[in-house]
Amino acid sequence: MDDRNGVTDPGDTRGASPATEGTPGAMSRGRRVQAGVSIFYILLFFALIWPVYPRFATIEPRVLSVPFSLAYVVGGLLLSFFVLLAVYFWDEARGANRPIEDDD
Amino acid sequence: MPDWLIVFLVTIGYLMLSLAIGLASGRRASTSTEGYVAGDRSLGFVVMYFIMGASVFSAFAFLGGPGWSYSRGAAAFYILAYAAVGLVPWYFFGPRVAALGRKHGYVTQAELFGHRFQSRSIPAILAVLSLFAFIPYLVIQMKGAGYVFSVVTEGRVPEWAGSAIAYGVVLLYVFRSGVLGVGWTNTFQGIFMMALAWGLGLYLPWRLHGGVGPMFDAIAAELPDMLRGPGLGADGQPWSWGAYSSSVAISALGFSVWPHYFMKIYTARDTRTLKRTVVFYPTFALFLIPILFIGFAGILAFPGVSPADAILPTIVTSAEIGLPPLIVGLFCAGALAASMSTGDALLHGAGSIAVKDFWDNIRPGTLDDRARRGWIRIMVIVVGAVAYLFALIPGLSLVNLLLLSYGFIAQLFPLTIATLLWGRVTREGALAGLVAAGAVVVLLNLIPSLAWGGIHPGIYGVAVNVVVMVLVSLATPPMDEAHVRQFTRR
Repeated sequence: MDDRNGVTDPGDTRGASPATEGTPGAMSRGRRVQAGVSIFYILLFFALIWPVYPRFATIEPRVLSVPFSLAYVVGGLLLSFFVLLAVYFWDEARGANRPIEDDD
Repeated sequence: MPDWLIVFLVTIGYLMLSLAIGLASGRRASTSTEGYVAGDRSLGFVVMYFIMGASVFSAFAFLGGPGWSYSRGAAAFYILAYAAVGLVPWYFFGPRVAALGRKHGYVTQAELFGHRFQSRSIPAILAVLSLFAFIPYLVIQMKGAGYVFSVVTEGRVPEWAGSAIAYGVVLLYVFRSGVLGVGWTNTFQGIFMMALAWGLGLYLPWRLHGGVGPMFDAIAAELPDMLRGPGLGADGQPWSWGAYSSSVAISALGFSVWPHYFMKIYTARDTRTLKRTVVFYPTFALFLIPILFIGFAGILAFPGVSPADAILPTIVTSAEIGLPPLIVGLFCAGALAASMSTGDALLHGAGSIAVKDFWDNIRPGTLDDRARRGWIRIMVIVVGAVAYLFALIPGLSLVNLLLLSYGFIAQLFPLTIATLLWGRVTREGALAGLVAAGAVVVLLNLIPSLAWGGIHPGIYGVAVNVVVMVLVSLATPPMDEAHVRQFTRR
């Protein structure tokens, strides 16, 4: 097969969209939060596997009558949901949920 | 009327309803390839939520989930663990991918890579790998459907006929309606499965043990290892933490990049839809909890059921429980829903990938849009037929093929991240990383003793992939900066 032939490269000749320019402070804060959230999820991932999870994969204490090994994982699931929900609302408040075309 | 006939009629009624929804939903889409594959990029939150939710509620989860908690105890929690983080990467790269798709007209995952790396080889290779990964996954869904039919009709409908009936319905609505058929039937099936999961998941522990608490009390007293992580291995001995952790890792890494789900990013109506789908995804995974309860309920009440995946139908159809045939029929419909809602997305994805990523790259320019849409629909039928033939082979073990599939698919994660974040990655680097990782995954599957600590071969593949991709990229000339920037700019 011949690579490159027929694959178009329209390039990127447009400048930044109005939503992404002129607010360097807000953008850098957004980036910082995004980096923080990414790190949180990497930590959450490691909290659900070895070497963290083995410390909590016990039967006691029971939570709502289920073993702690299950309650801990469900807790991770709920934490994931609430943290990302907060990020979503924060994105809404700062106007970061732009139309898809504007993300280009 | 005999009980089995009532069960059968309820199941058939459910299938007819699914078919009607699937056929009706396709009328809203345009007749273009974009309409068939990406639903004209118009899907809203509810449909997106249920399409992704169906990825959790597969035949594996509905039958295999209780099977795992029944035979391996806490090992089954790994499914919940990877669901907690698996889709999160979409929140960050999804809007960018959707924007690129809208700008350049992508409808499949490999089109993104092909364009980024200016390559026809990469999408063609990924198409072959994707189809290779889809087939065993699809065969398991089909076998699950046939198995359920056979059990609830007391063998009067053989497995081959059950698979044919359920997947005949799936093929009809996927052929006719494309992704909209997949989306709206998944919505209907998802609501149905949620109700059934919580209903049975709370009723059966209460009926057999007097409640969820007393059930866990009894298991803790008699078989405590079943409730402590990491549970038991397939051999009944304690599972290793390496195997548990790498199962979570390989599933989490692969989850956001399975090609048939990744391409759903292009179907989203807007950024809010995409982000909300990711945010609410873990709530769908919560519905696996009652499914796991069902398996735990059977540990002491129904010892020795083999294969373990049969525990759910065994409990539901047992005389001891005495469920009315209408409820058994609804259970049967729920299990079919789990199988079909996963299988339909696989079939739709496979047809699209075979034509868009493989044929369009090895024979560019030979299909116009109308012909392409027609060939995608034909390939849906062909892939369905091939999977069905495999499903007919008695005693065919798919476990190793599935392990291999997950190992391959996970390699798309570093490629995706590099595509969108690291401008220095080159075509040669991307290809070399994929090839090296593929070789490692195959080698460790052939000689499992080389995989230290029981760690999944795909994890070793990811490590090799990243190292080789970085080294080869740095050793080769960078790609055109203006071209690369449209992918990496945030």
